Amino acid sequence: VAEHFPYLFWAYNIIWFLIAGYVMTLGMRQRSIRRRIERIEQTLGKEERA
Amino acid sequence: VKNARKTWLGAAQIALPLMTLALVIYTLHGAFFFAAREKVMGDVQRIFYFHAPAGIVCFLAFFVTFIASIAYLATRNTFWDHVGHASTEVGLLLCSIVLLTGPLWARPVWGTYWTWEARLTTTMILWLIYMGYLLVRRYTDNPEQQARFAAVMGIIGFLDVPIVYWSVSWWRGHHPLVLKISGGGGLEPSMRTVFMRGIVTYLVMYACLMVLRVPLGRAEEELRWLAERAAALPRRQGDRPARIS
Repeated sequence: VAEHFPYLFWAYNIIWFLIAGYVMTLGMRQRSIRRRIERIEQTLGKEERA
Repeated sequence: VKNARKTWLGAAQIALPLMTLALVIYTLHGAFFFAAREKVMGDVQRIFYFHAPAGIVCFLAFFVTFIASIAYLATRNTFWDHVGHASTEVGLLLCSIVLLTGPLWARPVWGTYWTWEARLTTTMILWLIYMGYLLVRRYTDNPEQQARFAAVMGIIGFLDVPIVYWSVSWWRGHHPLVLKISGGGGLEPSMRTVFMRGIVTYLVMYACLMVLRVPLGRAEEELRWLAERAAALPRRQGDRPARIS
């Protein structure tokens, strides 16, 4: 293990880093869209009442 | 029907990540404690259990993009565009895993991180083609055009998948041949078992990422529709234009 351990270590870390990064990006995009939808719905509600 | 679909989607969004996590742990255990140690390459060969299955499921993801692209062009139903877009993103993630972990295996085994060998080169081209699929969507602001251009890319891009698969035999590359359609593979039974676990793990992970990503496309479409509605509202004199982003 000792000889090639760094390659194994980095290969597995890259996999988890990429997957976790993608999932986090999805979460951020989802939150951002939800916020923008809420903001527009509020604007629309105000405009329609006016 | 809509409520039932929402309930199923919500359940899948909870169950699939848990299943993926359990399978990842199971496959990791197999890769490090169950599979036999490869005699020539040693422990670095254990990269293979998460490298090769990622490549196989990446092909599946691009196949789904291919089918969704055809379905979109035939029906113009935006659902298919969302499926194709989501599957391309997940496929690219898996292709990136393949392209980054492969060189880490190759360095101690081949003595170099990268060589312009047939399988490596065609996989790199595959990655670039599907990056093009994502970039072409940014080329225009018109959602219908975005979907149409991307669908054409999704169909043409898939032509590279069989080329990647057969590249080793066609150009006699030195990339190991793990899956053979005929003649059987050369894997030792414990290695084969863990390799199959790896495929199942990535399949469930693919399904998991799809149920998280496809609804995002729907939400983006809803946002666009609401923004257009807000922009079309009649303004009273003296009002500032409504901010839509």
